[in-house]
Amino acid sequence: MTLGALRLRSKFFLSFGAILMLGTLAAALMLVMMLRSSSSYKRVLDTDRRVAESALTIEADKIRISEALRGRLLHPYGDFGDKEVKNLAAAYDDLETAYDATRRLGPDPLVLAALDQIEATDQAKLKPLEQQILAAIERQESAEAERLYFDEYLQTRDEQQQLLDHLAELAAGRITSAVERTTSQSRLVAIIAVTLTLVLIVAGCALSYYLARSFEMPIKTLMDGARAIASGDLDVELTLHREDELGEMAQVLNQMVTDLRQLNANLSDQLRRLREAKDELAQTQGQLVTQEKMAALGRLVAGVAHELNNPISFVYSNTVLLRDSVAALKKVLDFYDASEDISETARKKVEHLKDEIDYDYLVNDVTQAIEDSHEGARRVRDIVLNLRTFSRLEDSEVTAVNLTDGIDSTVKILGQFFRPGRVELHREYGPLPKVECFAGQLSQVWMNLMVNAAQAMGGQGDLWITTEVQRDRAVLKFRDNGPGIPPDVMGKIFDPFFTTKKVGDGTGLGLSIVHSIIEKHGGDIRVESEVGKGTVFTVELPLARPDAQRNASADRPPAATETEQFSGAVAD
Amino acid sequence: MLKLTHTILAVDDEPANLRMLERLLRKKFLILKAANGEEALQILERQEVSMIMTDERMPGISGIELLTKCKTLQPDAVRMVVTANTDSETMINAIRAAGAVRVIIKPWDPDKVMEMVDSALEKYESMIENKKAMTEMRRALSRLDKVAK
Repeated sequence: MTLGALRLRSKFFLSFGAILMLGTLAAALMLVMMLRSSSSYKRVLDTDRRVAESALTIEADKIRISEALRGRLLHPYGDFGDKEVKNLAAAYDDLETAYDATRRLGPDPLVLAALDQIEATDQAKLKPLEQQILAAIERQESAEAERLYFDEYLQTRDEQQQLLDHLAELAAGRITSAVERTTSQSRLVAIIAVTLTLVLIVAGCALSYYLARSFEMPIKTLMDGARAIASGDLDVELTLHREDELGEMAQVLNQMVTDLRQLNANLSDQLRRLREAKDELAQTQGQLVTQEKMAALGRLVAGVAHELNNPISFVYSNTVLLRDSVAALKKVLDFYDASEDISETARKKVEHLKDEIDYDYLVNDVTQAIEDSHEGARRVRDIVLNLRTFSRLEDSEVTAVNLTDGIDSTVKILGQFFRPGRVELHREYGPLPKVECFAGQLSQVWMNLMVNAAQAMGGQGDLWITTEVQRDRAVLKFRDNGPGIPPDVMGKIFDPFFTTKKVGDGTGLGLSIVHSIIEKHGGDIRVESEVGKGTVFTVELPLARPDAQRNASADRPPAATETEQFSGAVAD
Repeated sequence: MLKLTHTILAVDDEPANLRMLERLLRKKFLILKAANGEEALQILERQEVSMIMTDERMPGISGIELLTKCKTLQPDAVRMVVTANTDSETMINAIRAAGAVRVIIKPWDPDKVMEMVDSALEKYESMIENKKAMTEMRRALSRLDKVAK
C-alpha cells in the first residue's frame, strides 16, 4: 500500500502518531539523559565527597598519630603513655583503613598519586621516624626522642602536611569539577531538550505543510475543475492520481460531468424537438387561422347570399312580369294609335303630349330598360345561387355511391347539350367501386365540367368521359376536343370570379366551386390543355374518406310520393 | 287545360313576395293572401282553396307546420312550400311530416313556377273528378242496394 493509497484519516493518524512518537522518544531520551547525569552526578559527588572525607580522616589520623606520639613523648612512663601507644596503634589502623578506603573509592590518578606520595612519605620517613621515636622512648632516650620528634618528625610532618593539603585540594577540586561537570551536563541536556523541541516543531510544521499541500493541490484541482464545469465547459476531466477520499471525489465529479453532459445533450435534443413542435404548431395554427377565415368567409357569404336571395327573387320575377305588362300596355297604346275613331283635336293633343314626353324614345327605352333590368336581375340571381352553393359546402352527408350514376344522371339533366348534332358524348367506364362522397356536390362538379366543355366547344364537338381505379383512388377524365386553354389562362381557371366568357355570361364561380368540392373530398383536380387540340380535366378522388361520417339514414326512401324539386341553378 | 276556377292561398311574411305571386297568378286564378300562419288558418277555416303556397320561414307558425295543419283542414288542397334552404335532410324530414308537398326553391323563375302550378292543379282536378266519380258510384251502389232490398 503506497502512501498515496492511504485514507485521509490514516494519513492524519500516522502523521500525528509519528510526531507523538518522536516527541515521546525525545522526552524519553531527555529523561534518560537527565537521570543518568543526575545519578552520575550523585555518584561522582558521592565519591569525591568520600575522598575528601578520607583525606580529612587521613589528616585527622595523622594528627592523632602526631598527638599520640607527642603524648607518649611527654609521658614516657605511666598509664597515660601506654594509652598513647594504644592511641597510636589505633590511629595507624584507622590510617590504614582510610588509605584502603580511599584507594577503594577509585579516585582519579592524581589523587592516587598524591596518596601514593603520602603513603610513600609515611613508609619512607614517618613510620621509621615514629619507630625511632618510640624506640628512643622505650630506651628512655628522651632527649633523642624529643630531638627526633621536634626536629625531624614534625618537619617531615610539615612536608607531608603539604602533601595532605594537596590531597585535600585535589579532593575539593574534584568535587568542584564534578559539580561543574554536572552543571555543564545539565546545560547540555537543556540545550538538547530545546533543540529537540525545535526539531519537533519543525518536523511538525513540515508534516503539516506536507499534509496541507497534499490536500491543497487536489482540492485546488477539484475547485478549478468545478469552476470550469460551472462556467459551461463540460469537457473537463479531473485526474487525481490518488485513491483516498479526494480521489474518490474526483471520480464522483467526473461522473457528475459525464451525467451533466448527457443531460445537456438530452436537453438540447428536447429543445430541438420542442422547436420543431413549435414550428409545427405555428404552421397548424396558421392553417387553422386560414381555415377559420375561410369558414368565416363562407358564413359571411352564406349570410349575404341568404339576405340577397329573397329580394332578388321577386325583383327577377317582377322584371319578367313588367316586360309582359309593358308589352300589354303598349298594345293598348298602339291600338289607340291605329284607331280611326279618335278626333283630330284629340289626336293633335295626344301628338303634343307624345312630343312632350318623347313618346317614341320612351316606348322603346322602357322596353330596353326592362330588358336590361331583367338581365341584371338574372345575373344577380345566378351569382346568389352560386354563392349559396359555394358557401353551402358544410352541410350534406357522406354516402357511398357509384360515381358513374351521378355522371349519367347529370347527363340526363343536361340533355339539351348532348342531343345528336351537338356534343357527342363517349362514356368509357372502367370498374369502379362505390366511393364515399358528397353525392350532390359531385353532381355539381360533373355538371360544371360538362357544361364548360360543351360551351367551350360552342355546342359542337366530342366529349369523352372515362373512369378507372388507380391505387386507392378513383380517376375520372373529362376530355374534349375544343379550342383548349392558353397557357397564360391555365393558372387562373380555378380562381373565383375568373371567367373567359362575355360579361354577364356566367359568374366565374363554377370551377372555383368545383375545386373547393374536390378539395373537400381530399382529392385532386388537374387540367391539361393544348390550344387547338382540346382540354382534359382529371379528377382524382380517394375511394374511402378517412373521416367518413356516415349518415344513418343513407338509404332512406323518400316518403313524400310527390316531392319535386326545382332549382334554378345554372352551371357555368 | 284547367276547367275549374281555382283559388290559391299565398302565405308570405314579405308583402312584396305576395304581390309578386298575385301579379303572376291573378290572370288565371283567384288569389288570397295571408301575411302569416294564423291569418292563413283563419282563411282556410272559412274558405275552400285548391292550393296553398307558403313561404317556409315565417314568424310564428312555420310553413311546414302550416301545411301539416292544412292537411287536416283541407286534405285535398295542393300543398306547396317556397324555401331558400336546400338542406335536403331537414327539408325532406319536414316535408314528410306535412305530406305530399311540392317545393319551390328561391329565387324562382316565374315561367317555371307557372308551369308547376298548372301541372299541379291539373292533377288536382283529375283527383277531384275521381273523387266525385267515386262518390257518385257509392251513391248509386247504395241506391241499388236499397232498391234491391
